[in-house]
Amino acid sequence: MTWTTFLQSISERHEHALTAHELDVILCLREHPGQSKQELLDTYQQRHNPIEDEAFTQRLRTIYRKFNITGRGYKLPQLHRYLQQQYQQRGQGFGRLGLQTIHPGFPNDRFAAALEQLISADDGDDRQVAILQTFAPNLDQYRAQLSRCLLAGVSVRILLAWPYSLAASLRDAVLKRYADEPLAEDFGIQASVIANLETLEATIRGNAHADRLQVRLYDTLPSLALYRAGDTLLAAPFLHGALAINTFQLDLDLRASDPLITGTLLNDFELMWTVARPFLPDPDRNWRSSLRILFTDR
Amino acid sequence: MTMLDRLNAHERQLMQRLRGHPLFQRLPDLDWQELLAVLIQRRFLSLLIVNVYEFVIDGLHSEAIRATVRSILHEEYPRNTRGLPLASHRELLFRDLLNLGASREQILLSEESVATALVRRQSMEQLRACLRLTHSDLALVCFLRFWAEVLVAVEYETLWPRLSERLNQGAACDGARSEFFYHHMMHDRRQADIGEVALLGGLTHAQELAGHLVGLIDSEEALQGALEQIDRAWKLKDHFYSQFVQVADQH
Repeated sequence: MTWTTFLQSISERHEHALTAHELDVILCLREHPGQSKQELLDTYQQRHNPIEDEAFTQRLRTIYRKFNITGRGYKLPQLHRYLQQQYQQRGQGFGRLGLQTIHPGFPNDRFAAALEQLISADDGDDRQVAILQTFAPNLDQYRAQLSRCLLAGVSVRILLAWPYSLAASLRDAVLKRYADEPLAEDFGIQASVIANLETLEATIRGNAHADRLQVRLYDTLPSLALYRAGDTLLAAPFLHGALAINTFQLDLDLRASDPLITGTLLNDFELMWTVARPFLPDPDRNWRSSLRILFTDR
Repeated sequence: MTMLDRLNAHERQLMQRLRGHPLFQRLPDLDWQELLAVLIQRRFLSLLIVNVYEFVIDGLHSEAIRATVRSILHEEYPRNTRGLPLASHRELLFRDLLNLGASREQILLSEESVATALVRRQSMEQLRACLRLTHSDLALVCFLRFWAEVLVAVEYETLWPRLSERLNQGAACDGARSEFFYHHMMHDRRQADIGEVALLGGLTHAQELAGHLVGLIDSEEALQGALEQIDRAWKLKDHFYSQFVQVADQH
């Protein structure tokens, strides 16, 4: 992880909640110590629009508060020391693998924020959303954002279980027998995937850039659920006792210097994408009949 | 040769015999109105499917088999996940027939022929006969599977070269798209031998029902019962298509 990607990822963390303008200031911090406030301001002025001294100071004060820099004396060296410390810890530990944090369950706000950031970013190679699930219980809540992603030029790839596969039946049977918390009486993987496809059908309907959405279905068994928005990747295992969204989530930064985890997961997503079959829940067609026969020629 | 091998071999043989039916042999030469007349009569058998399935559901003793038969029957009347009813398979058949060039009047006002009515009546009689047998569950599943799934797929697969003159299939196709014939050809078909297991891909209706046959064919007597039911199913389909050969011969 480079200094810059580190600054970016730490600033995006939920507990800091920096605004885009504050992030611009943070990104002007040099890696090595000794940078004065004036030098920081100069760097900022070179990269961005001119700013009044007082406004810049105010922005720095907010940053200190958000990073909980409360020691006596000059705050800028304290902020720098804090960031250096974090950077070194990450470089030596899981940070270099891209592991930002581990959430106890699916962090809805985190993924929503990552989608928003992607929608507002106007360029970059990684303007993509990718979801790998058997079915995504939370897909409907992101429907409006997925639509806006398509309109904003973001490509969206969704990989779900083919609802008539033996693998889907197996997952269904495992959850019904072993889930810690009882599932709804009418729960079923088959209907849940079809409900996801109905959500995607509604997403496509009337969207001028529906061609940026690709859906594929697989008849195998994945090990992890993945939610990717740009450089953010949330990964959770399919355990016997719970839905993947109710399981711990690895929060990974795809800009990790060591791709041991992130690269492996992305490669596996691509492999599954290759063996899966394209399926479009076209609002103008009776897609349920086509869904039923998607894999019956194996 | 195991008992399942004998059953599988017999099934393949009967499927081949239906493909070789004189009507199917002259299918490429049938004029379009003759083909439509066949399909409109064939629709009467499709209308019987629900009765056949309901009869089997009530006649079965095994709850596990009943669950499979019920789930296949319910595919005939799809709903979205909010419970709203979508077009039934019979409506999709109607649309396919319209797209093939039949008029509403032609489809709705054509009378059922004597031969078609006889095949329908004898099909229901055959189901009643299954109930009187020692291995009644086996008999019901064998007849249902062969009459309503395996041979249906053979019929549509054999008809498809002509149907595809006016109907397309696939995501990227232009023009009228088959909503009924193509999909039934795919999801009804036999696909694999009884007893053959594949972990990937999915099961057709014929395979879902075949899964129950494996445990039921446990004696020579049971096997003979199964062979008899598939013979009866084939004969009924053979009689159904023979009516058109006789008509053609009279011309």
